[in-house]
Amino acid sequence: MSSSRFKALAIATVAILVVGFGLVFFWTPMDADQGFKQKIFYVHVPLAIVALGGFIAGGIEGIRHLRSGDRRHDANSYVFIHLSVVFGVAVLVTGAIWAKASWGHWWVWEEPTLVSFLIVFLLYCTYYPFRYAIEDRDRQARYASVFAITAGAFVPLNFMAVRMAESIIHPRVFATSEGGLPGSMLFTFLVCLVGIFLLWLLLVKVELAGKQASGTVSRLRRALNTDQAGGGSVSGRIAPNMEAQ
Amino acid sequence: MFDAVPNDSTGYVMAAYMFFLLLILVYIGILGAKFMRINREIGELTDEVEAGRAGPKAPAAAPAPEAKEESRV
Repeated sequence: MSSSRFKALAIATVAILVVGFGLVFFWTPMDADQGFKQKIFYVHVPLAIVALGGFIAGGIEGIRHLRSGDRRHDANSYVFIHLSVVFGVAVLVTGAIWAKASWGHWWVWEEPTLVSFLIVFLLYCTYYPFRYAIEDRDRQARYASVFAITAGAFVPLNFMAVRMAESIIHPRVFATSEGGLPGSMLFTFLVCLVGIFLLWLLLVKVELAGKQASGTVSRLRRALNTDQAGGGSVSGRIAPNMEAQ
Repeated sequence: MFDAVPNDSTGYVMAAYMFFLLLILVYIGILGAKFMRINREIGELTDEVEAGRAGPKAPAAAPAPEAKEESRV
């Protein structure tokens, strides 16, 4: 990605997030049922959607890696999952705060949506030790891709199962018998969703640029060591850094 | 189960948004530290390459100290 496009993405991200949060607090009407605490919805739900989408995208990159053997797809898969886990932390914390404000409890174990998200989050937390336990870079990338595909397929299946189950208290806002979100709330929600998706994309680009730079440094160091000592050094890094194969 | 629902939710809403912003700021800080490390490594590699280039030429024609300083700048 060229630096001008990167700069444009960064400016668009900040602008859309500022506009989105401005709409949340100064334009969108107060929810008749929940009141002011419903404003958490505009950060919590977009974060959850982007995180879950990122997990699925990580699985798709895993498929592309297994099909092509291209290390870049493995790096993409790793970064997508990594950023989605970070966003997952924000989903869990903002969700707990909303639960405390609405229900009086930080966590409700009887609520299937909460528990299923926690299961997905914990599943992806095991991605790191699983990946780092394998030293051989090619095997590590292959196994991590298989994990990403399996867990990525589990994400929609898990949530379909939860939707089919009887919900206790978690709100269903998009397709309800009462008609779902009003227009102004839906518009604000969509602006926030686009802003948070752009933030995820921006951080993905920055992470990938870092991995590319770190791969280039490792290659240079190896080349330099080969020139000086007649042998290569082994990089101690385990996470993918987009080195040429 | 719902007996402890607080009446004033402003603090909770602010806490949720502040946590989100704080998390992003911390993450950007970690990324910044990573780029600084890469930058330092590039500097070290540059020094090694320059030292390697200067090394073999030294017996034939050692550059004057002033000229070496200029080339580093």
